[in-house]
Formats: sequence, structure tokens, C-alpha cells
Amino acid sequence: MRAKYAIGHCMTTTAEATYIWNAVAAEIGEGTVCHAGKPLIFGGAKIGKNCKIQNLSIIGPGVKIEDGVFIGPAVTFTNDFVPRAINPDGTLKAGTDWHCEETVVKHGASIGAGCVICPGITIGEWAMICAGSVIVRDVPAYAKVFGVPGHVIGWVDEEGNDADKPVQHNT
Amino acid sequence: MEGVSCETPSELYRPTGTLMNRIAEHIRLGKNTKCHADAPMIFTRGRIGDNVKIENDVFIPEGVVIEDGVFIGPGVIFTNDKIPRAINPDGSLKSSADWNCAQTLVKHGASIGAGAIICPGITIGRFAFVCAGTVVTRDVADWEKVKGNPMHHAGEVCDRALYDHNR
Repeated sequence: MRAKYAIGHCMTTTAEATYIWNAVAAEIGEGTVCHAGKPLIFGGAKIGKNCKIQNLSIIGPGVKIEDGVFIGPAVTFTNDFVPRAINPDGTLKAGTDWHCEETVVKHGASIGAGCVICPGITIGEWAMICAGSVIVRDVPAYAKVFGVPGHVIGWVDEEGNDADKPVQHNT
Repeated sequence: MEGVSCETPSELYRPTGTLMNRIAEHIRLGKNTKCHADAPMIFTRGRIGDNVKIENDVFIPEGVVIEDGVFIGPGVIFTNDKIPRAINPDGSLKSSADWNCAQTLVKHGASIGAGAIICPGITIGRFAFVCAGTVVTRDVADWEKVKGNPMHHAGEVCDRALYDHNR
């Protein structure tokens, strides 16, 4: 079951309210915990079940988060490759004047504190993004990624511990 | 709690679910410690010392100890879990008992610049200087200046003898 939240809805969470700003209601799955403070979840974002979302994160339209994803404090998702406030003629850009990229974070992945996720990225299952990384390329499943720009520095298992090689899926 | 000065609209957080509050009730803040407006979020069960300055949008979770006279710039994020996961491998939501809280220590007089990210389990030395935007991935020595992502040594901040003399 997914709840839809109305404009400016304050979702009661572990301790404080999460502000969910909706042009179109954001969809948030059952069991998802938004931590105290103020993650900002904008309309058009889709969030699965059993996620943990920490303080000060920004999740905008075009972001799809699957089940069981950990999002650390101050993680920023982006959705526009060519952000501009105005058109070349100086007029303010309208809501239809830009293209919203789709970002997907797959099942069980973790994103560390302060990461910035560029538009149109896919982060694989159970991937581990270290704190402060800037993700400019797709991240493979089970990869451990660090740095600016983010690069693969190793592999992890489902628990998050280091692994020698990517875990093979038996699906 | 005595002597804590929180400039408006920062107020104290009460775990009863009251809104507006940002500092957990069980936290011990020292004398003259200042938290700036627009609410740093402090959830530590550790201690924050005297004469500390904490700027806006700072996030201090459980497991962080801040000694006296530390400066924490705007948007500084402390972390406390080396292997963060939302769920267990079987897909169930992790409970608060399912993880290890790493201990972070910021020693006397250190400064942490705007937007720095402090990885779990780090010790930042006395009067150390962390430049803005640094991702602190290892311990910082006393009087060491560090910058960058990943972090590297960028010199020392001042003459130790001068500080020792003034104390």
C-alpha cells in the first residue's frame, strides 16, 4: 500500500515532521522511516517500502527509490542536466521549459551523507555510496563507490561489509 | 541545559513529538554554547562542551562528542554508521539495535568549515582546522589543517608555542 500525501503535508515520523511538498503527490511506501529534521520530498518522487531517509535530504521529481534504500543526511538528488533560471531571452523558465531526468535507486542500496546524485543516474542493488561522493555515472550492483567524481573502489555484500568481488545474483 | 543560548527560532527538541524542536532533551550542552538560527539538528547522547559555536543546518547524530571551544560551520554533517543499510539482507527493516554506533570526537578548540562531512569514528585533534567542503576520512592530528575530497594534509594552522603560551 502506498500513501499519497497532499500539498504541504507534514508526515509524522520518528521525531519530527518531514515536509513533503507536492505539486503532484509524492508516493511513499509502507514502513519507510523519514528521520527527524527536514528531508524535503517533492511531488513526483516515488519512494518504496522500508526505506530510511535522514535529515536534510532533497528528493525531487523524477527520482524513483525502490524498497529498503538508506539515504544518509544531506543527500541531494538532481534532475536537470542543463539547469537555468531563465530562457535566453531573459524570461523566467516555466515548469514546462525543462526536461526532468529519471533517477533510479535500486533495492537495498545505501547512499552516504552529503552525496550529490547527478541527473539520470541508476544506482544498482545493494550498492554502497561513501559519504561526500558525487555520482556522475551509473553505479553497478554491490559496488562501493567513493570520491569526486564517484568511482568504484571495491565491492560489498548485503550487510554492507567489504567483499572481494561482486555478489552473483541467482534470480 | 543551563546557559545554553539558542537564537530563535531554534528551540529544544522534545522526544514527545513536538515540532519546531531540534535539540534532543537528553543532550548536555555546555555554558555559553551558541546554536545559530535555523536550527542545527543535534541528536547526540554524548556531550557538547562550553563556548561551542554551531552554525545553521548542522547535523550531529548520536555518538558524537564535542569538547569545549569548537567551531562548527554551516551545513557540517557528522555520521555514525560505517555500513549504513535500511534493511537486513532478508528485506526486513533494520531496528535501532541492528547497527553499531561509531564514536566521533572533536577536541578542544578545533574548527570545522562549512559543508564538511565527517566520516564515522573520526577523532579531530586540538585546534585542528578542517577547511570548507572537506570529507574527513581519517583522524586529524592536533593543529593539523586538512582540506579536499578525499581529505589530505594542508599544513598546520599556527604556532603551537603561541597557543600554549596563551593558555
